[in-house]
Amino acid sequence: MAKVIERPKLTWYEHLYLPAVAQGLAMTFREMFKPNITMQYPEERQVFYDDYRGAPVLVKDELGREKCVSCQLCEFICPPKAIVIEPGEIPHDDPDNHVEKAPREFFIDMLRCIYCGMCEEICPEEAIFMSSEYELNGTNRAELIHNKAKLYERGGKRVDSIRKWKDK
Amino acid sequence: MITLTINGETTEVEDGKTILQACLERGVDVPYYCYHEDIGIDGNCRMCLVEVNGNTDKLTISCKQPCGEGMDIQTESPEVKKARKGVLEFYLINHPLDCTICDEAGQCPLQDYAYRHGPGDSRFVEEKRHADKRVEFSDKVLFDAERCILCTRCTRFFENVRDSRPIGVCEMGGKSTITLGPNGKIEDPYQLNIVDICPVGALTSRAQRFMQRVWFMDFAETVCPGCSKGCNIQAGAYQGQLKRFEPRRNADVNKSWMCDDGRLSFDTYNLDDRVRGFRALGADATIEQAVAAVRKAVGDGAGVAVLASTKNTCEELFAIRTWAQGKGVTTLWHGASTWAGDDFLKQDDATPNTAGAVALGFVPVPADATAPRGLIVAGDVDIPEHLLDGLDFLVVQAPQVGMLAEGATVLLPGRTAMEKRGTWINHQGIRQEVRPALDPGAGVPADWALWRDLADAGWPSFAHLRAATDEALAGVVPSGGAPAGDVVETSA
Repeated sequence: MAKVIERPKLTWYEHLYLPAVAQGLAMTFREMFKPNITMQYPEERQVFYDDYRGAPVLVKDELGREKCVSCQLCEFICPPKAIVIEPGEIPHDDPDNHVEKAPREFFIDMLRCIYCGMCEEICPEEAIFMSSEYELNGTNRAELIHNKAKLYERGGKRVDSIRKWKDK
Repeated sequence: MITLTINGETTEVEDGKTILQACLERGVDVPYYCYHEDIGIDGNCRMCLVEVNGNTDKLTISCKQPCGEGMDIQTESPEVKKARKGVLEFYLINHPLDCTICDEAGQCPLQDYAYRHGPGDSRFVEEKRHADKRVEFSDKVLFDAERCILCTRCTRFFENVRDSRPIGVCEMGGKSTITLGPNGKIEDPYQLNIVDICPVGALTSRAQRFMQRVWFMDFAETVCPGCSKGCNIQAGAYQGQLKRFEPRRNADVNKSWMCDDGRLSFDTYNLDDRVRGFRALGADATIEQAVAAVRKAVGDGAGVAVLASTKNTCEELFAIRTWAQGKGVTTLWHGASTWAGDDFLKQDDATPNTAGAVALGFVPVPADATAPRGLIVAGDVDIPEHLLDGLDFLVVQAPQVGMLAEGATVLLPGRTAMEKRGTWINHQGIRQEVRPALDPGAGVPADWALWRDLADAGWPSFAHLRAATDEALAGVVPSGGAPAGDVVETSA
């Protein structure tokens, strides 16, 4: 059984129609002179606070050395199992050989990553950080599996107060 | 027998046992480093302190103190806990905090004890001792002097087990370290055992250094397929690739040891070019077609011989024998290969189940054997050249694509020794359980199931085949039908 809704009876003022137009235009003009709350993306970008959890990246220390020693704790803790590390030995003739270990390869599958930040939290060497990068796209799936070179390129250098390997 | 009390519980202990042994036998957790069941007592690490007869002024090292009549032993009293905490704090003063790099992490007693019994914090603000972190003890072993806690298990392994002294402790006090002797690098063929027994990451195997974290690996408790000794091992695999073999303790077979050749053979079981699926008469076939082709070729079995690898388990050999008997094939050969053994563990016979094959009626290929009409090869085996002349047909069951597989009339997929299930009988006649460490994936059925299908035998599951094999072996093998010697003990 269809429900019949009665049309409201309009007053003569409402029947005039023009006052409503004027009201609407008044709001339009009012808003025109207020500051914008939208942004002209992609020309303008949001600035994030430091703790924003964007795509995880690897960082190098103040001397440009790899911080990651491939302890694989991030691989262990990663809830969606997005991280895979192939550990490797630093060659004996390398000046940083005293650190002994570095990743041979480091993969983060960004199709799996859930941006939880556990990797950053667990890292004992402060080598992996959540960047503020949030636009990840590629033309195929393989492009979204970030390898070591890509992760270091995105991470860059990071100077911390603790310099564990400084004098060693 | 001696009657004493451990943590308020009265118990009886055999004469001559130490307090630590008595505690460990009863599942009482007492931490220790320098003591090792198969190396002996030293008493230098001071980790195993316990309270005896309420003497809190001077705690006793339980590894060296023999049990005495009426002793009252406390392993968890406040004084003992405090002493452990103190000992661990001393250890951690100079032990580097590089668990993130260290290969021992995850199986490190120092890490475990520091977590369970340690102070949890360090009061040491001075500079830690620095030492050489990469001393080449040999082509196989590297030594990190910073991590070493000087328990001397490694030097005592050579002294007490191998009767040699390639390494020893030198210098005094804080400068003490393990060093190579005057004869240069270690050449002992059992040297990698010191990597296992090292309670910290001071000794590392160069073949396994920085390969994979221990907690990512799946371990299968199985037996080393390298020789007829059948050392009990655990095989660690990561994502379908074997990464390491480690000995498991079995007092009757290998104690806590295994040879380096066996230990480093793990990579030979990571195959790339596998036989997957069946091939008959040069074309891919289904299992039914392959079975039919074998049946047609064998006919009434006259002039057909079976050559089985002695890496097959007793169960598989029994299934092969059942098939052969059903088809009228009476010539059962086994193909054992040899290498140079030694007088400790390594045997001359380089296959693990020759005794099992002999017990099931397989004989070595006679020197004067002439080429049969047809040859059935089961498993990975070296075939004497003259047997291949003038064959009518050749059926090969092999894990890997090779020369022999190319020429086979019928090619059946096989499994490697690390993918098999069943039992092997070692040269002492001890029947030991073999468990698969790897899964070969699609197209490689279990060997026992393949031979069951060929034989039309009615074993619905492996347990049925096991029962039938037990019956066949009863009275033939010294240990009888049931698998023995599968002692699972892991020493710290």
